[in-house]
Amino acid sequence: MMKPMPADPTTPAKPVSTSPGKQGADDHPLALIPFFRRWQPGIVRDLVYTFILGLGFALFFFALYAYNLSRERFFVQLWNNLVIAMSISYSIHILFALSSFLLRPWIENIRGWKWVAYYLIVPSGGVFAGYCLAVLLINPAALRLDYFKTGVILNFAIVSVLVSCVLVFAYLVRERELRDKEKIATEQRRALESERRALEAQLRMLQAQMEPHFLYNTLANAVGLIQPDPARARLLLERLIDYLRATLSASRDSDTLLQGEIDTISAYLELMKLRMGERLRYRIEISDQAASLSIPPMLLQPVVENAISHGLEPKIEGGEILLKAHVEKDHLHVVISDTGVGFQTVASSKPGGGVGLANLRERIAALYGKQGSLSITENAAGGVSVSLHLPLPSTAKTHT
Amino acid sequence: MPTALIADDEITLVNFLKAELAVLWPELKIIAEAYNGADALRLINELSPSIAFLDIRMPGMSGLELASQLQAAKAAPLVVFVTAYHQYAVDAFEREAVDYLLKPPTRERLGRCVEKLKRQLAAADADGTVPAADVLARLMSAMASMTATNPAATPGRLDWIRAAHGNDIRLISIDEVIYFEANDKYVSVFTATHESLIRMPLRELLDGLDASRFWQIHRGTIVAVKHIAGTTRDFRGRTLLKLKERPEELLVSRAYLHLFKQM
Repeated sequence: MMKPMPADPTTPAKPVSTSPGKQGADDHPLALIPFFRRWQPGIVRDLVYTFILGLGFALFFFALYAYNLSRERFFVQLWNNLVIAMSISYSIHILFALSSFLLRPWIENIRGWKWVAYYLIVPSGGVFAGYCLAVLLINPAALRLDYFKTGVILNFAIVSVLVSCVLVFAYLVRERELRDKEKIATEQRRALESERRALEAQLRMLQAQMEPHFLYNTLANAVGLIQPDPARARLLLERLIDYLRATLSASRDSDTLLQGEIDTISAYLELMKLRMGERLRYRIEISDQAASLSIPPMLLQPVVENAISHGLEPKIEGGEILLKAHVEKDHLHVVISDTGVGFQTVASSKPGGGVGLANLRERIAALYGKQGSLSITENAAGGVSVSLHLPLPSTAKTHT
Repeated sequence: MPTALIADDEITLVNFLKAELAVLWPELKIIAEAYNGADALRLINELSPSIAFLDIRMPGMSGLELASQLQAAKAAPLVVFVTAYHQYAVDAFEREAVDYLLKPPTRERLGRCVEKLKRQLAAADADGTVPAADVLARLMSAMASMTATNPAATPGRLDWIRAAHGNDIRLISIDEVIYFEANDKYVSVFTATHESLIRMPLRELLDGLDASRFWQIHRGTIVAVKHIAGTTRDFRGRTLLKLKERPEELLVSRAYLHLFKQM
């Protein structure tokens, strides 16, 4: 006696649903066994599972009396059992498919005893329909004989109702299990989501109050250049405008191309070069493949600003910043290294030194979970390298 | 004739100040320019200018460090800080000091500064004392109270840990740390993904850590409270600590069991 539940083909990847009435309709009874939960629900899966169930029942009932069968009856009996089990299995399968197709809105909303009745009547009906079908297939003439004695039918009815009851109970257990699991998952999702939002808000705030020192110093430079070197003053202001436009618009986008982010960083570095002169050198090496990837805005910019204000500015002779980005298997790998003073003097050179990097690490964790990573190392020659491993956008999407 | 030194790491700003002063105070002679703190100190000691215009953020040595070094010297110049710091900081200073300029200084503001400097110099000439010392002292104490309110600048708190990881020196944020474990000679630091060696002894580490976030649970183990998942007992009745992001179970020694009484 089997009870295949046709899966809803429109939601194949969503085995968990919230309403208890709908619960059973989305799954196959075989999925009660953990081993069979690996295969995503779908029509093909359900047809195969029904076959496996039918085969199982056929062999089980055959095994009950196979020991005293004569040789010529052996294969006949096996074949008959197979035909009966299969036609009953698929009858139930088809009945469930039909009823869920015809009565879907009603089935989704039934509760309590109606729900139990539905799951008793459909498989019981399937047992009778399947049995009739099997008899027809094996021996069409049998229909006219006394194959359907009341005793046989009654036994059959009792067995099918009992099995249905067991299955209904099993479904209820499974449903509770799924509901608990979903509750935990929702809780975790909510925690992660709220964390992400908090970080997002923090980031926006940071962007809004872009370091005033930077702005005042840059404008002071521009003022200083107006008379002696108006051309450079103009260049400086133009780079500042580029930079402001890029950073302020970035705060409104949720994603940007890496190339766009690099343009912002270039504007910033160019501007700092005008201010710091020979003390700042930089190189940007980015592969075409990496340039076309989309990344969250303002992820790299703070690292570059850090490298300048904590690495190069405190160093008398200045140094070089190197930004490299390339795709490595399924990751985007970005390294931002400087030849500055290194990490040990950060705390004294400017309060709040490591906070930016700690924020960045948290932001990466919130956006990518374990798939993204940030590591900070000291260069042998001095200075600091910050390297980021971010999953490619397609793989990232499945996570977030 | 008054003499001055200008120190700023950005040459444009040095030139700008020079040009403005030339207009406002033609008699002032700029005898030196410096682009970092160390050079400025050397030049001031060599040339003893009567006035020093100092940027606060400079490579090598900050304007404030430089000023405190000058305090010790016997013939300190009058110090004018030129900086891009916030307005609120300036408010604090302007009540105390004659000389704190916000970048970029306007000609009007610089003019007032020049007037003050002239008065100070005249007073110094009249009674032969060095007026700079007490002004500087007040500036320094005001600045110190300002930076003291910034919690991130508080010394003695470990925010980052330098750890050997293969051939690299990794910088590990204290937030990432799950636990520290001392072996015979080394201390290992464990994060969710890595195990690295650190050079700091456990004793010293403990002093730098926030006691509400890190608990010592054994002679050789310090664990981050937020990464504790719970405790279990083993068959010998010992208490073991389970962690959220690592598979190990850490032994809690008897002396620290009281930490888990409420758990």
